[in-house]
Amino acid sequence: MIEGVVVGNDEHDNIYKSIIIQDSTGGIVLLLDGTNLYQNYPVGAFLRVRIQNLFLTDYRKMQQLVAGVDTSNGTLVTGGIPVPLFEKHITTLSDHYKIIPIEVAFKNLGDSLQGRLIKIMNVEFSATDTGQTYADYKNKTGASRALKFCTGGTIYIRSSGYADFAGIATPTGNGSVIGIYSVYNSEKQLLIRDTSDILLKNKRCTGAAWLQNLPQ
Amino acid sequence: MSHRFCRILYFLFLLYLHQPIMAQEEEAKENTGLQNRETLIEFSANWVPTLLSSSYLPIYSLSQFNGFVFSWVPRGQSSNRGSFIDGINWQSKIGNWDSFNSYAALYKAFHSIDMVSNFEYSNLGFGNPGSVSYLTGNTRFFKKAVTVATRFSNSSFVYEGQLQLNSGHLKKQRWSYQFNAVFQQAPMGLIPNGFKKLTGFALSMDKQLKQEQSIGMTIWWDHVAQGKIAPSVREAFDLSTQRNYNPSWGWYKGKPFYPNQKSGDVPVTYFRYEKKWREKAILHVQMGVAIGVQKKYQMDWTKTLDPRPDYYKYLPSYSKDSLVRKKLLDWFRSNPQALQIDFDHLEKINQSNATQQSFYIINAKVAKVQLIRFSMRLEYQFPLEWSGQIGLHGANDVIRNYNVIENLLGGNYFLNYNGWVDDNGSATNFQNEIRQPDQKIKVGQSWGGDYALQNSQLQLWGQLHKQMAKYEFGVSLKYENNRFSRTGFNQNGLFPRQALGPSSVLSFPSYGLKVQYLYKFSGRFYAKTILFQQTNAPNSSDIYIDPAVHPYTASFILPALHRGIDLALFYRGVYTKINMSIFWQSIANASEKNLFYHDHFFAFVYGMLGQMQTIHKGVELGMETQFGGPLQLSAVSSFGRYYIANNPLYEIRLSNDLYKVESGILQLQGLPATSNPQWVQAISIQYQPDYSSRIGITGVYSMKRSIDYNYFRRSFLLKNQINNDANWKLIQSENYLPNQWVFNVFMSKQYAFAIKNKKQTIRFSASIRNVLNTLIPLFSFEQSRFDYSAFRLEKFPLKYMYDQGSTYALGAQLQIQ
Repeated sequence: MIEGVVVGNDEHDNIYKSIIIQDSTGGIVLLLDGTNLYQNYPVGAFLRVRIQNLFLTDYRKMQQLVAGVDTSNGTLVTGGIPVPLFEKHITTLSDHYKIIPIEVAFKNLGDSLQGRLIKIMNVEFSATDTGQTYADYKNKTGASRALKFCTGGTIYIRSSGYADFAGIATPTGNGSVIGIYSVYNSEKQLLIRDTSDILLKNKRCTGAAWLQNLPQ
Repeated sequence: MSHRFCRILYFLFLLYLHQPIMAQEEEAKENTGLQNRETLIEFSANWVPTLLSSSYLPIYSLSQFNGFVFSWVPRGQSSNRGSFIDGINWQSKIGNWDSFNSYAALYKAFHSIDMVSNFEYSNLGFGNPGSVSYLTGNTRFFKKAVTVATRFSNSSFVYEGQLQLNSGHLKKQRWSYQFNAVFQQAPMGLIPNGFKKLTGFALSMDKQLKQEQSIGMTIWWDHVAQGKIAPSVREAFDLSTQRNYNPSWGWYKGKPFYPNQKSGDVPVTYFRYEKKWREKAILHVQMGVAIGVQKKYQMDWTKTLDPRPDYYKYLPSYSKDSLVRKKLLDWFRSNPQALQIDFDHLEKINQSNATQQSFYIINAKVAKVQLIRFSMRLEYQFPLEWSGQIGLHGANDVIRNYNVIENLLGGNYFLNYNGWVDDNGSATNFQNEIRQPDQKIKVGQSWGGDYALQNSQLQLWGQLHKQMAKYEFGVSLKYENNRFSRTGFNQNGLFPRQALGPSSVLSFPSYGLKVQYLYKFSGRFYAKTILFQQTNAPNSSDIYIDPAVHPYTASFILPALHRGIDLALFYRGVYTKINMSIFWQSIANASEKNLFYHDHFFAFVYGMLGQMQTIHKGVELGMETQFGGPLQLSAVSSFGRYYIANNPLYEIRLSNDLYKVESGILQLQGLPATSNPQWVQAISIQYQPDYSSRIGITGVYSMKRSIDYNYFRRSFLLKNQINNDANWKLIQSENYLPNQWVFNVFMSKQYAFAIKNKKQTIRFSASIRNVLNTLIPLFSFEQSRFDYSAFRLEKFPLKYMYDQGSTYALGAQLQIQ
């Protein structure tokens, strides 16, 4: 049994067929084979998850809990918990639980933060990704936009082409971003819930520290 | 033994045999209050059929009362159902109105007239199948009596009470009246469709005037509310282990909740006038109105999880992973409530968002009905055995349709959006009313499409009939004109210029011709042939693609052309009646239309097909005989073939903008045209030891009962795409439900006695339907959704609805005359 608070769901269609829960020790993705999950499991809902008969796998090094693992065709295919079994595995203990994202510097980004809501400071979109749409909303394909730390380091905002903010342009300013930490193999990524997680209203970085901002 | 003595014995023997027949008629009279000589003639089974409707007795009674579990409609024609009451056809060419439901359970208020007597035009049988009923509310058909009856059943209702008052003919004032009141109730959860509550009454009055005139009126009103059962896939029935599994209900606040319901409140009033000129002529004039509201309730949802427990993605078969499949199987078996809807959970979802916007609602589709009718019929007896009838029938129907929120299921409001529209980023596409965008709808307020359909109809017909000793000949003609129009009252975002306001008027003239010849070999043996050709105007559901959204018409609207021939032989002996009919009918220019989600285009589409021709042909054999004294046997054999005779044209258009995305020819030739059984054998044995007792058993064997096909998956385009002969052959193959028997038993006992010179009768009856509790699928159909992407046939399997199983009815009736 694990318990955690929902920090991410499909409300803005950036996350698909899964919810992300976290507790004080970590976070994890829970694959659910349904849509409009945010209505059942809104952000802030405190859940108890019975993990018996679930599988712990990873997708490109990002850990997740799934209901089924099928290797019959030679590749690993994971399946989410089917809708009728939601209530067998998940119980909502309370709603409207407020989660405060932890502030993390680039050097402290690591696997222990997978699935957790974090806040990174003094970041801005790279020059090439500034003013670009978050994703390709016309062709419904996802995109990664580079966020650079003023003090060095890069993390990628990964957005789905189906997200309701996919067609919005990335801001030009500098500031903080809240998101759920994830990985794609070795690439560090941040999943935002919607554009209210992006707080880039300050002037962009200047000075020696920025000039030394080499790609990581 | 002397010759005279033998003759006396023979006469007494005949009299003894004749008693049960008289007793049956006597019992029938007791039940319906019949008295007049003409009604005796009618009721004495003058069952010569007209046109291509089947023999009235026994095939009609056997199919109607014993074969409905198999949807047995003689000759496989279940469309064009008419409901004639005193010459007025109360059916409408506009949908959302069913006249049969308007007088449900009030059947005792009307006298049923054999619509196939002699050579009746047509409204009584012209081109229409044998499912037309012809009733009258005229009180002269009922003798003086007070009747109180009650019934208990576990079928469509649990208990019923009825009161009937017939004044008989009041000589002094020349008045007569008939009052009938009924109530039926089935408390929640005792019948498969949930519940039923019906209260109704019918009142008829007639007055004899001078110079052989009479006037009368009838008013009837049924208030009906009942639950509805939804079909489901075989897998869900297996999981539930119930033949009566109904996925559309669930639990709400601790009580069973049936969102799918229908209700009706449409009182009907009409007046009749009759004038006779001795034996020369008779004139009937009727005028009537029906004004009221019918509603259909169902759960609706938008942008949320599908709440149906039998949704294909929720069932074990959808999971590719065998472990997950097993988990689901175990879960459903140990949690049967998972196969019903959890309305408390839906309420929680509605209340969980900040503004408490409802995603799940209970919606009422409202039909405001206004029907006006006029009918006139003049019969004239010419010299030299000629008779003629002419008639005029007029109708003006207006039915306004809109939605009303019945229940927000805990939420505060519902957004007035069109949930069927594909969201392509447009800001107004999904608005149902662009003059008031983003409307928040509360309980009792209307939303969605708001439109009215109007039909004006004028029909003129006439027939001539010559009756001679050896033959009868008749010819009839009909001309009819139907005019349709649509008026929209909301301006939606999909078709803002077209949705609002009146549409153009569409006119559909039609005609009919029927010729009949009857030759009497003897007083008992004769042959009859009927030839006919007629066209029928389409119904509004065939004309308009989606009148809730726009006034555009379907692609293939042509008047349906019916042609046919019927050859019949009849033998009518004293104790045995036999008939044999060979029939052939062609229906050309049939069309069909369907809104469904297309998995290849990832959008909702309209599928339309047209210029389809069907053939209905076959042989019917019927026999009634009295043998062994009080035993009567009725038997019917019907061998038919009802099939699609050609490959019709089709189109697929996107629902958003009616853009045509596909068209071509459907490969349907040879497929069954109906889901009615094509071969039926029926036998009924009645034992009547005395006039007051009767036991009967009826068996019906149904064969070649097809499923309902989804035509649009049978295109040549799909055949080329599938690239798998085996799968295509499966799609093309005919699919029949199992051949099955159903047995029904009926018994009745009557006691008669006199109190203060008034005759009283008490009658008890009991019946058991489907005595052997056979698992019978009422119907089965292919879903409109098909896997047009990967062509997996098992992805959207057949849906079924099953018969309830053995049901009983117990009745008691007291009649005071």
